[in-house]
Formats: sequence, structure tokens, C-alpha cells
Amino acid sequence: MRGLSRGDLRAIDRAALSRDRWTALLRVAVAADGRPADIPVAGSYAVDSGTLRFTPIVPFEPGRSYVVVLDPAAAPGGALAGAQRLTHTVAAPPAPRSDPVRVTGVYPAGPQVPANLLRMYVEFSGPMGTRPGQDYVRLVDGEGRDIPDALLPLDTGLWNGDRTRFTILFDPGRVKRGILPNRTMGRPLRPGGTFSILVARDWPDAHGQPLTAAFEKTYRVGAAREQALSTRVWRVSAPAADTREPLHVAFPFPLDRGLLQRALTVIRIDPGGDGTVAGSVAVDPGETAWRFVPSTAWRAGDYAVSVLPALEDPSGNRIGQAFETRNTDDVEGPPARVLFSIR
Amino acid sequence: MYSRTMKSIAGAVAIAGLAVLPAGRTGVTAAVPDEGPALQSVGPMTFGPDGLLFAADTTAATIYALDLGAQGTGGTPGAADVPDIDRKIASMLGSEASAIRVTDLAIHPKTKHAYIGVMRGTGADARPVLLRVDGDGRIEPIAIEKVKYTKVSLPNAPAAGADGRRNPRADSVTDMAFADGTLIVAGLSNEEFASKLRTFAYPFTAADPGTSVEIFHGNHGQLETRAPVYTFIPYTIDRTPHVIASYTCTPLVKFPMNSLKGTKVVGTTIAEFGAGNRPLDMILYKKDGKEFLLMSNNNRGVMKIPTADFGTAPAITAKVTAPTGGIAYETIASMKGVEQMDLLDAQRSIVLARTASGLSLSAVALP
Repeated sequence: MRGLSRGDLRAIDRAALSRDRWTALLRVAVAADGRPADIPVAGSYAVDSGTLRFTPIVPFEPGRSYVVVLDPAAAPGGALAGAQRLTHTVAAPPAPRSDPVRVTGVYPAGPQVPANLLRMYVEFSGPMGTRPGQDYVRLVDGEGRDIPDALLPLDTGLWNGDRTRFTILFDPGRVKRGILPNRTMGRPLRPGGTFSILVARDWPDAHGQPLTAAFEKTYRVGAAREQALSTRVWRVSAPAADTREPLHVAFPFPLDRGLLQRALTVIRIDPGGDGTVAGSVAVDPGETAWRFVPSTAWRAGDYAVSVLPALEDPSGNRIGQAFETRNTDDVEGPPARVLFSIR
Repeated sequence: MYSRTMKSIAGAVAIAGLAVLPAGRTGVTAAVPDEGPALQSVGPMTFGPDGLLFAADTTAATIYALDLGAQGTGGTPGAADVPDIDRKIASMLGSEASAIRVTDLAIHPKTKHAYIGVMRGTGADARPVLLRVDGDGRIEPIAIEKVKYTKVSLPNAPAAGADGRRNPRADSVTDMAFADGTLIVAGLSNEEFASKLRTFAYPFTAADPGTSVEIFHGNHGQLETRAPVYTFIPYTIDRTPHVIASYTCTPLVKFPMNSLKGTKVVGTTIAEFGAGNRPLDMILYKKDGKEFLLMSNNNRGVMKIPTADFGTAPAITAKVTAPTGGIAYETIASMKGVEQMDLLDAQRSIVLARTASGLSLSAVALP
């Protein structure tokens, strides 16, 4: 606030006002229906270079209006004597417009998922807000009826770093065999049936805007997958030397899309010391294959695809270790290796 | 003269970054010196015995140990009731109640003030705030920039290959507790279904990445699965420190603290709860010479569970078909909508409960 006399400002500054007295003198409050809220915005007050300055503890919200009241009667030591109360409504500039966000995909891509599905991803074209995702996702059966208690009710959103991918966990208590929720209600997905995932349009993005459209996807439900993964049934198609053709690794059934993006590495086997091959990764539609394009042309020689133990299928099965197992002595084994040669 | 002064004042309200309506003006935002921790978010919190506040910044996968200094003192001891606290906090933070999310509540062990972690805003502009409620019900924001701190980062799971590949994996911290000089941290990954319970010795040292133990759950048919711990509390059984934990799949389990030094722990199930339930908070208390665990849940209300049998109760092995299995519990009908709770003193807990009008902070007699 500018325009106060230097003498008044000095008097206010010298008085070393308490927070309550500062607030009585200069009160900033949210405008609710044009009226100030009964509790003022918290912040700090200062007098500097001819200005009376209020700094809120967190920045004002874009687009929101605030009522500012200067009450001379609360000024210390005769400052502002005879002046009138001053009331102003001010507004923070609105947030910059951004393109509305849309759902770019839901994974597994399908069309079929196992009855013991544990995890799905919803991917977006832009960053989303922080409201709990479970409020905007529904699962319905083939008749369009809600499937109750299918998903894990979390209060922490499982997002990636830029909030463009949301992870949905099925309630593991219903997926896992032999524990109470599973025994009393069974698994939420039944083999032979279908179900749909519905993403509501009013899920707010990072700027509070709804999605461009609601999203719906229907799946067939197949038998549960309760076996450990094995790299022995993967098929590696090795490219020719001196090309930048992709290396292609095919799986007999879908693996987890999120984990595939970081769990596989190409290693060049060299007696003088193995080296990681730089390149870019893509997961094929349906998550049944992984492609790797090297940054520079392939050299002839022996290679391996190294697989982190964290790799899972969408039901939580790992290499050498089913999701539900009788013995988990080997908690974190070394990365598995799938050998191939380039000629 | 004063009317002239007032005229010149009236034309000069320029609040940093705000426009006066209707004649638009903008000022210059004063930069706040960044001295304290640069929190991106505030999640689970827990106090050490001397009033050191541990707070998880889940967005940055970092745990801060905050020395509140003078801000941890003063005010009337205790924490008085504050009805509609979400609306009041929203006004203080220049917002509205629907944009306020309380992430945790923790009672200071000495002053008994209630510390509340809040995220203001639900989008790109979301900001973390730490507030304190004292025995007069006065809500004071903590000036984070004035707080001394140390921090540890949660190690992210490796992305295969050093080829600059985007690593979309993130851990969220779901609960923390401090026991015997050790901070225990439970988390949940957005990718693999696994739980590493991490422990950090305090004071934090840069060289100590903490130790992590893979947590399993054994079912009654002897099948084991990796299972994330969602919420937990340190608890001593027969002079042996234990952790009483609740998994995402809703059993209540126990395991000895010293087992957290290995590579793998399989919890012993002592109670089970039905589907669609998530424990939110647990506190331990004594009443009439008996000890109880009070557990708030997202849809089963508040449960009062006697702990007398925690040490001796056999692991649940029989197939129970009742709605819940194992140790019996009582649902406390008088405690509704509890979203956060902590122990205030020997007779009372402090709860944040959702009512028709919003969120209220209140002290409640222990049942």
C-alpha cells in the first residue's frame, strides 16, 4: 500500500505492532460473495521504502478476490489521525490458460486381463491436480453395475513425477487368496465376464479444469495368473550388425507397462568389462513386447538383456517368484539375463 | 489535508501480484529469502521425544527433521477444540475449505500443541503449510523459512540403464514413527507392489541411506506375498520392541523391531478386517489398568482393540468366516468421521473429524 505519509509510516514502524494490532490496522481477507471472510489471511507486515507491505504466508490464489481494509483507528501513536477507513477489493491475476487435459490411455491395454489383476494405470496428456483419483474412477460389471470395494481406498495419490500417470491398485485383500476380504467377497473380477473402467470428466487437472471428455474402456476377464514369470519363454529378435534396427523382446502375455519402461537394459558382454548400451525404449501396444533402438549402430558381438527383479506382470508376479508363493527366501535376487548375439 | 491524504491512499493499494478492481494494477512480489527447508509438500509427520518434528515431503521423497526452535514454545499448553477448522485454515491461507487438505496431525510431546500439516490448493499451485493449535484454540502458522532442519532422501528404485531414461517410479510415504533413536518410514510405490519399511538412525548422516526391509504377509494357507505396510505404531511386548502394523490388505500384524535389520520380515497376523477398509491412524493408551489400541478407519469407524493378547495371541491360522477375525474389538460409535488422531494425554485423544459442516478439531475422552 503506497501513498501514506512518511511520518505516519515511521510511527507505524516504530510501534513494533503485534500480529493482532497489525491485522486491525491492515486486514486482508478472502472475498466470499463480495464480503470479507471473518478470519483474515495470515502473513507478515512490513514498512519499507514508503510502502506498507503485507506478504501472505502462501501466495494469493490465482483468480481469487480479496478484501483489503485499512482502519486508521487502529494506527498507533496518532498516525493516520482523522483519516477515513479504506476498503478495496483486489484480485490475483487468473492462472494462465492451458489446454484441457485428456486421458491418453488406460493400461493394461487389454483387451483381456487376468482375474487377479492388481494394478492399472491411467495416463493423461498433461499434469493433473491433487484431488484423490479414486473419486473419479469407477469399475462396472458387464451389466453396468458398480463393482463394490474393488479398488484400494488410498489417501495418497500414486502419481509419477509430473502427475501425468495415475496408478490404480485393486484391493489386495480381495485379490490375495485365503485372507478375510477374499474369503468373504471373492475377487472383484470373475473369469469369463467383462468389466469397464470409467474415468469421470470432472476429474480436475492441475489448473482445476475438467478433462476434455469422460473415458471408458471395457475388458474381458481371463483366468487368474498365479505363476512366476520366466525369461525362458521370452523371444528375442536380434537385429543385424551395423544397423540401428530395433531389438525386439516378445513376452507370451502382457507385463506391467510402467515397470517395462525402466526394468530392462541392454548390456554388451565384453571380456574387458560389460557395458550398458545407450538407446531408447518403447513398449509395444498390449505390453507383450519391448523394443530398444540403440543410439549408435549395433556392433557384432554377444549381448544380454538385463532384467531388474522388480519387473512384474499386472498381477504382481515376478521372475522366479509368483505374487503368492510358499517360499520367498530369495528376496531380491540378481538381475536376470537373457543372452543374444549380433552378427 | 487528511481527505487529500486518503485520496492518494485510495489510489495506491497495490498488493504484490494482485490487481485492484476494477482499475488493474500490479505490484512487485517481494522475494522471501529461502533459509528454511524448501518443502514441496507435507505428508505424514511424527514427533521425536524432545519435540523434534519429522515431516515427510512425499513429492520430493525427502524426510525432514525440523527443529521448531522458538516457534515450538509459547502459547497456552494443550490444544483446544476448533470447530470448522478447515474453513478457518482456508481463510488464513487465502482460500476456501474445498481447496484445503489436511495431511496429518501430530501432538507435540511437551507443549501438547496440535501440529497440522496442510496442502493448500489442488493443482499446480498447491503449497504445503504447517500450523499449530494451542490450548486457547489459536491457530498459528509456522514460519517454515525460519526452521532449522536436517534431511534424508528416500533412495529411488533404480531405473535400468544409465541412458537418462525417464523414471516414472515414485514412492509415497504413508506413515512414520520414531522409536529408540530410529525413524521408521512406510511407503507405497506407484509401480511394483512391494513394501520396504525403511529405518534411519537419527541424527541423520549424509552417508547413511537408511536400511530397508522387504515386508511380507503370510496368509493362513501359508502363502506369502509382498505387502505394503500402510500405517503402524511402535509397541513393546514383554519388554521386546515390536511394530504393530496394518497392511494394505487389512490384516493387523506384529513383528519385532530387531527383525527390521534383516532383508525380509513376515508379519504375524493378529487380527483381520474386511474389504474396502483402510486404517488411518493408531494410538496406544491405558485405561483402568488395561492397554488398548485405538484405530481409526476410512469406513469402519474407530476400533478399540485390547492389546493384552498381542504377545500371546497365536497367529491366525484357522479360516475365520466372521466379518473380522482374530483379536476381538469394539467399534466406538461416538467417534464418527475421524480422519486424523493422536494422543493428547492420559485421558484424551485429539481428533480431526468430518462433520456435515466440515472438519473439526476436538479433544475426545479415550473410550
